[in-house]
Amino acid sequence: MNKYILIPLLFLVLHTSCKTKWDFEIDNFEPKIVVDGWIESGNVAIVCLSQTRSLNSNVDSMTIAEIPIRWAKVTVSDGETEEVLTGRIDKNYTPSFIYRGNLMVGEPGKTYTLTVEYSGKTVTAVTTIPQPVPLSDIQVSRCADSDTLFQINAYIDDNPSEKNFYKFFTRVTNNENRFYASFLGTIDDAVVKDSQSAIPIYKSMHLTNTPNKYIPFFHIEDTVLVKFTQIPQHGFEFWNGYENEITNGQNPLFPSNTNLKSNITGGLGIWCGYGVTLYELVIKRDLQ
Amino acid sequence: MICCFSYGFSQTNTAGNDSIEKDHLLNEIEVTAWQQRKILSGLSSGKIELNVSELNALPRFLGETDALRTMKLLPGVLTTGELNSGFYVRGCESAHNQIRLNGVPLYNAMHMLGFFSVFNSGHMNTFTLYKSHLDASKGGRLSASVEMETRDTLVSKPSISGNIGIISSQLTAALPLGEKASIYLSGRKTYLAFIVKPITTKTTDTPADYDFEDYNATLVFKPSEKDRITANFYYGKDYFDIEAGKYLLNGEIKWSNMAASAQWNKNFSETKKMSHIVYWAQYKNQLKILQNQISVRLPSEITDYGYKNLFTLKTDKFTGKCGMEYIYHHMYPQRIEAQGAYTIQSDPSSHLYHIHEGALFLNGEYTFSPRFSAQLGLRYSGAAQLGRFNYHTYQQGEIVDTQQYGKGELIKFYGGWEPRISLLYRIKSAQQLSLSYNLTRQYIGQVSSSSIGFPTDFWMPVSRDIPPQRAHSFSAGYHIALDQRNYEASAELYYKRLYNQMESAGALIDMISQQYVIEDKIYLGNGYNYGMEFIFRKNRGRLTGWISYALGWAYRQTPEINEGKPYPAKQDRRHDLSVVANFQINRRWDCSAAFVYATGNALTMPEGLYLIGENAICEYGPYNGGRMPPYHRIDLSVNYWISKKRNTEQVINFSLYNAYNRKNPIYLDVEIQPQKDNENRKQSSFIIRKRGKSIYGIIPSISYSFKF
Repeated sequence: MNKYILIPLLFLVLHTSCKTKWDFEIDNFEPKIVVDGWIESGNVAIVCLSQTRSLNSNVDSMTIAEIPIRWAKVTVSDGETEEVLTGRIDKNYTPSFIYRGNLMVGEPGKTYTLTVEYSGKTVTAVTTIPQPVPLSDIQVSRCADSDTLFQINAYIDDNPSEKNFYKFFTRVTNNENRFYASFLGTIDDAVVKDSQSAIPIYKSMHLTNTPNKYIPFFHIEDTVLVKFTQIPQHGFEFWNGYENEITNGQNPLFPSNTNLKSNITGGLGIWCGYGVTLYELVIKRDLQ
Repeated sequence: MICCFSYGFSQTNTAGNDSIEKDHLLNEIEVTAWQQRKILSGLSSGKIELNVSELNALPRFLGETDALRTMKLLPGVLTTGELNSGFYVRGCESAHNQIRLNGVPLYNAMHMLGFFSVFNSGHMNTFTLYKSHLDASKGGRLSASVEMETRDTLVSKPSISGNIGIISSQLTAALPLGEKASIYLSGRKTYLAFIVKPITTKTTDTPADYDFEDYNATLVFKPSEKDRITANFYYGKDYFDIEAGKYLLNGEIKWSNMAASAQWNKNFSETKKMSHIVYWAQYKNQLKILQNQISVRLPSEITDYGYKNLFTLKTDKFTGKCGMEYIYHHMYPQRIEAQGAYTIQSDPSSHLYHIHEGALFLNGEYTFSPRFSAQLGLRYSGAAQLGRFNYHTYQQGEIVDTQQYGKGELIKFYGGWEPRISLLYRIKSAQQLSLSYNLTRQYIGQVSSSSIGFPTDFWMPVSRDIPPQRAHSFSAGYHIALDQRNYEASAELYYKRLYNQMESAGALIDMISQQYVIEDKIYLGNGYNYGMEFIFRKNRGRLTGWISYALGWAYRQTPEINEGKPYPAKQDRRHDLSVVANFQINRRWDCSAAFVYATGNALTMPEGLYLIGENAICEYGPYNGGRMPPYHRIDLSVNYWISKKRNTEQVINFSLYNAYNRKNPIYLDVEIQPQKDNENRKQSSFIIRKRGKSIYGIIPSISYSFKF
């Protein structure tokens, strides 16, 4: 998986270039409902709702409080029972408004249907929670040429007789209140050769963390929670495009200019089931 | 048409020089008919020749004369903008143009991401661009053909010439080796490596380094009056390196061209001659990244072994050509290699392509009357993919079947005829009409993954699953010369129909997160280009120059893109204007200016924005449905001639590239950043910035050129 390191470099190329304001007009822009929702094995469903914003010349900022959709009806069904999620403020998220289930807990192998009704529009999506797969090992090691940065490597015990897709999430408990998608942590098992192959787990990258100061490694005294998940194929297709968009959206060498493959009918985003296993690591000074 | 470049400039530059004036008059008296045809483009409408030694009269680029950059000021050759190593002719992509150095194809002819061409002007002699009609001896590409020839005359005494600039310097030495042989040696190197690294180390946390260099050698041997043997060697490379301490990353991008050739020209008589050329050429580019004892490479490589012969028969009314050419392409298109803690093993037999390309051609040009002449050519070209090669079939990323081809086993053959027709009718002595039709086939194409023509765009040959590209090209032109050819104007219409055009369907992430089958990441489609070109030129007097304008459309249609509807090609450019002027102030001073204006390239525009996982995601509009801002700039140049004699000269050049400091963006950057509330210091909003990123603003330059 070391070829993943290709990506961060491309961030840097041409960073010395000049910047000029570039305004343009978008005709007939229609806002779409955006779903960022998930249901994990052993946990309730969580859905964040928002709308797309035009990039017209008169749009130069978004107020965070105005981003979420607050008055939608969000329903999750497993085919037998149905639950309407509760909209609530949750300071662990940005924007700090989510829809959360109370009773229905995700079970591996089950299929879940999401329905969102808002302002006369209805969007739907279907997902399945795959079986959780434990890692065969997870290790922390000091980065070469650094005394203070540490790398986490995971080893996946992939079943070669079936097709699997995986995704890592991380949470550094010192400064993050929830899990975020690990940077470049979306894996097709075709590139997992055996359980001896080290797969690097990078720290998550997100706007509300440390913009422009992102470092993919971990520091001494970090307590890192790693969530290793198996995801369905539609989840892989979305998150794979997502990785490309957030890393190459500004990269003229390999530009990203395609819309993400979404499983949301009538909207954008992702509704995904995760089969979850959790790990906790503490980065200590004496690690080699 | 273009002979008038050298004609006009030699008039200007040699004023007062009796000996050269005399030569010139002799030319006029002896070959008046020939000269008339050349001035008006002859049979080959759209043939443009530049005498490299006369380029001093045009604006310099950072102190250097550059034929390839000058070419972009001509009608139908579109302005590409900064950081773009290609050139576009009549709506075709850059890879549709053949660039040959002494007959050897080069796959990336630019240094410094398009700022300098790889052609060291001190070593070059002539530069010829065919953009309308290609006779049957030329092929392998759908659009234009560019031929650069190095100096090849015998010298009787040593001479040295060079250019010392602020970015780079070059030196050329011409040495006699007895009476029958001479050698030319040239070198050019930039000193950016000494400037960029220290500056970026001090001012940024990502120190960068850049360097380029190139070397030429030409040996000319004339064993008899009828034989000439030339051996040529070229090597050039670019190197870019960047370090990112916080990522523990070190990355480099490098690309290089190397070419070696030997050519034998024999004149059997005044009417019959032949030439043979054998060559070897290699183009490499590589992206390499090191991080934490891990190394990743993204290499691409083409090695060509070629041979071409040409037999020519020329009488008063007829010129005939026939011959053949053969190229073996040994190619690694884009692939990924990783070493270190986790090694990516890939099957080399599924990446290495063995392509054998060949052609037979016959071309005849007959002058029926002083008013009417015609040219007819026929070329048969073909390409075969041979083993050893393994074609893997994947299902959900896993190999489920492998078709193995043994060494030398035929996998696929493509071939076809390429008729070429050109008609020329002279209305009066100074006016002519031309018509041409060409069918061309291309067996190696380029898949553009970058938005700017970066060397990471990779070349892909025909294969079992990739058919050759082909194009029907029609053009019609009208040319007129006035005031004893002091003024010239021409207009041309063109239409091209293109087949099997390649579009990249792969994102970088696909190479990394799953099994990457290169042929699955290429979409095939068709396309059409049409437009018109105009040029008005003044050839003599203290003020010379030209105004050229092109109006064009270029569309592609690919089933998988834009719901199968036509969409603009990246290089679709509605307007392209160039104004070039040179003014001779006095014997010592002359100045020149070039202004270019071009409609922006087509690009896929982000139209909306949304948040997922606390990251901003763009929602893109139709494929190539948006436009870059217009590209324009003006370059100014002043020459002060310290001395100017027949065999020696010294000149100091002052130049301003992009004199009004226009920030021409090379790509669009949408940036979103959290903004904290002033009162409670909590994040309250996101700032959205849409900015074009540009590289070059105004660049002043001074250089000293000499010839002794």
